Amino acid sequence: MISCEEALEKMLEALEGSQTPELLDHLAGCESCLAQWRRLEAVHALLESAPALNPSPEFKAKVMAAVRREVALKRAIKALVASPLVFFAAAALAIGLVALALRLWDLLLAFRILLEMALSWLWRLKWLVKLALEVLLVSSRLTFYFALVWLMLLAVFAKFVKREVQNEVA
Amino acid sequence: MEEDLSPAIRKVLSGEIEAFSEIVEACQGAVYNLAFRLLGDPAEAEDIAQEAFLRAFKNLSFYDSKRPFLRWLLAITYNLSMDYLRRRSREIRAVKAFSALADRQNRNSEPSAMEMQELLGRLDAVDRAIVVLKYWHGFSLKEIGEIVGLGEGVVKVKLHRARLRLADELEKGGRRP
Repeated sequence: MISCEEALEKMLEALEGSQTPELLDHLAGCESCLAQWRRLEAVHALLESAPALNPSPEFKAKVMAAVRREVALKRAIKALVASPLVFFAAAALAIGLVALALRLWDLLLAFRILLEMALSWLWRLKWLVKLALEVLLVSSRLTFYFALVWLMLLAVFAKFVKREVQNEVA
Repeated sequence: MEEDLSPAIRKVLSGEIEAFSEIVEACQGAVYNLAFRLLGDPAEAEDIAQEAFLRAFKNLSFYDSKRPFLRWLLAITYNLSMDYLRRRSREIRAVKAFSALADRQNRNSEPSAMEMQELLGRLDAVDRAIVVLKYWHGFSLKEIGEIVGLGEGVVKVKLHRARLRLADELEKGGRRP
């Protein structure tokens, strides 16, 4: 005898119309499978007897109206594309758009130049500040060295003066 | 089960758009039924069915005449319905809507039909589509696979799983055969 798992497979195949003697033998000796088979048969019968539903009576008219609208729209677009007036209008619009684009390009170019100038001035300003700082730094260093040299010279001069004075006294 | 729509298709392709009404007439039940069983709402199902016909009309020149027209149209309907469900995450709402519809549309019908609406709503959308295409449209597993874009083996497994799920749900609902 086949197993319950195999019997389930056979049941599902049997619903497609191929009932086998092995299944019948199994069902005769297995209550749970028989109950399962009855449930499956009931579902099958229920599904087979379920009525098909239909749309509302005006459905066809609605679809045809949508189809006609679609066709009318396509025709209108075709007619527009084919018309010389529309062709010239489209050409004029395209030229206008190109001109506008070029004009915008010019404006962008001018803006870019101004921006570059501003940046270059900022750059220069930065260099000026840097230069001023350098000068300040260098000059302060120079002042320090100058002062140092000057003090050394003063010290030498003072020593010289002091020796001269001592010599004079002697 | 499919009627030959080739003459009507040829007429539409040659510019006779009114011939499309023959196609609508022949397929509206199947398209609406699939959309409704997937979405569970009559108004939404009509919108999707209408969109499916319109899309078929727009793409009729791409239709491969070797393939049955209804299957092509149902594949469009299935894809539109699934996109709709994905977009709106309508699974839960669809289940509720099934019950509502059962009350509204099947007041005089057999209790089993109402039960069916509710039961179907408990399957996931792909399984639901497979069950609908199998039982309401009578397609073979291979044909269903072509419509839903799955292999025959996968469709078989899903159909079996759906049947078992429905049997379980039926039992849970207290309706024993």
